[in-house]
Amino acid sequence: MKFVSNTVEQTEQIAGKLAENLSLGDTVLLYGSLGSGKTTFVKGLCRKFLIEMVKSPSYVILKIYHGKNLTKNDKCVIYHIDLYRLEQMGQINGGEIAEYIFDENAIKIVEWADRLSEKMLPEKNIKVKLEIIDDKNRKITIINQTEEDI
Amino acid sequence: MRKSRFIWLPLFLDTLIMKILSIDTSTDYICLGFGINDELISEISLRVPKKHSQLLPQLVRNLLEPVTVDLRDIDIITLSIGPGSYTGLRISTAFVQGLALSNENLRTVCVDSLTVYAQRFQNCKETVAVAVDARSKAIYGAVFDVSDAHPTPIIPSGVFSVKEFVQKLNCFPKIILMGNYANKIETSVKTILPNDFAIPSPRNLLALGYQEVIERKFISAENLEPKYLRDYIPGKAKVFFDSA
Amino acid sequence: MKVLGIETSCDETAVSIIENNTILSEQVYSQTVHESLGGVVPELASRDHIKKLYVLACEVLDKSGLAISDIDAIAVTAGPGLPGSLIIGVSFAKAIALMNKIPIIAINHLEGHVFGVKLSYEITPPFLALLVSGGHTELIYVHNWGDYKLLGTTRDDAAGEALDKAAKVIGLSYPGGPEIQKIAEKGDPRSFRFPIAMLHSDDFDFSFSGLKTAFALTIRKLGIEKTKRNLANILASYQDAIVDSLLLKLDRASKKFGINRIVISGGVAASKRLREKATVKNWELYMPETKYCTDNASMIALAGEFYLLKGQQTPMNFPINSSWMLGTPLSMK
Repeated sequence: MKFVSNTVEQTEQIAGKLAENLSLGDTVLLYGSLGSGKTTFVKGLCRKFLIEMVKSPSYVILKIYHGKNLTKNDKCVIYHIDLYRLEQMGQINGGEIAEYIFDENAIKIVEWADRLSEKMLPEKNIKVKLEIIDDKNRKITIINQTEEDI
Repeated sequence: MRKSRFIWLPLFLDTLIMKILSIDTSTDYICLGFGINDELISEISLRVPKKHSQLLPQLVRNLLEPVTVDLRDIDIITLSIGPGSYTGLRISTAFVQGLALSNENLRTVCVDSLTVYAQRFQNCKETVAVAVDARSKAIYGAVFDVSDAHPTPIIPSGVFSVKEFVQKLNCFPKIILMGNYANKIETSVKTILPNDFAIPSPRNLLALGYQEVIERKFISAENLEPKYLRDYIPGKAKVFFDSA
Repeated sequence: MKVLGIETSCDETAVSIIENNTILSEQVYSQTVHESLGGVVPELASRDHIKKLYVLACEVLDKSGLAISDIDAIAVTAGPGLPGSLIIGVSFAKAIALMNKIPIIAINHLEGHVFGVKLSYEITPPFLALLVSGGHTELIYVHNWGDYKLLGTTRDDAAGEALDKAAKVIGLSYPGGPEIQKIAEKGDPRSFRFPIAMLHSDDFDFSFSGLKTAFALTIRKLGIEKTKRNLANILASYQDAIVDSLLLKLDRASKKFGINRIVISGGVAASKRLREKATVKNWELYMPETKYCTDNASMIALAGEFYLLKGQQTPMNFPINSSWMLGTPLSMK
């Protein structure tokens, strides 16, 4: 699926749509350069789970949110993982981050997912690529791994 | 380093009465055992995913109070040192270090976490394979010969891809499979999957720990460190989308 | 009351013993494994905490001349911070409390920084505290010790993070603040216009994400050659945009609440430019010495002693909370 967003609100809306189809165990992998709207996308996504205080976890790498899944009327834990700082590690291969990325009882959102090695990508993943077209416009590509397989 | 007071230990430790606390947090469970020498007196195994650090102190209390033992009276800790969940292992390691800081006479022995599963089948004339989830599409695996009183590793604890481990298992005529990944392993070999395959037993942990005590393989608190089996080293990037 | 403080929320392993607001003995170990890696790597941080915590605790006890049985209570950081690192300090602390049958109290890392001011100054509330580091940007109204109102916080990136990220874009090393400072000294801060974030909002929140994007776009537009030529000017302007937005909100809060007593602490408080620009304001300004701006365990023990003397303690089964907001309960569930 491909979208072009020309406002922050539109990016949040696209993310919100994606959020409606998420369930526990899903991993959303975000790819895109600095300023491409990854954090905006995460905000839009989390808002669907009634989580408002979304901030960049670049420094702490991981934030844990306790939200609510409205369609299923159930509690929902979200791990917001930002691997930006780990670039010079080259790749993330296991370690304690793996304990979160492979947790089946939470929704995982990973910014800068290109820092992950292939074996760190869970099977049920949705890849989202954000590209800067110009000052305002962003191209958003969503690839749903599970759908592709069918 | 802190000076440890000289403690007199008799030449033959098995003539001594020792109170031993065994701890395993390498999986989703907290497994605790209290024993006098090699005899298990009480035990607790509880599934507490991501809540080990919250519940460990209370469970230690719950273990010792009914048998009217004060934590201060514990002489030896048997610590299941890994491989397993990094966070889980670090919780029990830090906890044991906190205990050691509080009691200079406390001594610690460490036991390989996968060997604990195999210990259950001692004197069985079987081959026991253990597979524990290592996340990121890998397992911690080992294979043991258990015909003796204590398991002898045929393949020592290591990190394997599932495929790699299955290939190794296919060389054996028959295996007993243990560990929290055991039910997901598919082999061509005749396999027995026991009940409770996923839970490390405090009884077996104590048995192995007591053996270490007899052999005086004590580890000082500052040298306690989980058996990670993997260095945390950068690999090479795989880029799915080239960044703008 | 002798309080043993333990802090392992990020890349400092720290242990301290205090009594009556006085440090009896303290140790801080700053992890060095991360330096070449562009920032703190959680798995490496956790591994290092396990190696150092027990040894540091022994040293602190030795230096104080106290035995563990002399300790009356334990204070430990339970958040915010790296979960895997927090959990090590907390597990260690709980074991000590359990074995010695002494109270334990979970301390918020940010509240620790508020108390940390006492390590450098005699100061009495009320005052406004600005905590700025790579992980935090919080503006706090300290009515009294233990009585806070969080006036504002960042809506996206922390101030130090905005510096780190910009530094990374142009290939400077981590942490970015000091590197940018060095180059910016030779530049003119008025040569480029970067947006002062949240200038027109009347709350006390901060935002640095837009600024960061503006920086990235400016560099893109200029191209490599022009960027190189104008680097000092760009960085000076960028640094000022961050400093100005911090001071602007602080100024507004100071006027609105009629409070002139200001504390600025945290890693970014070491910034020369921030110190320069804050000093010329008409404030009664307190900026702790660098040692107590950064993470330490004395501030945790100090905060702990305050609550313990009021008879408070935390039940042993407390969790860690990696995003624990100041003034909210530790457990959100």
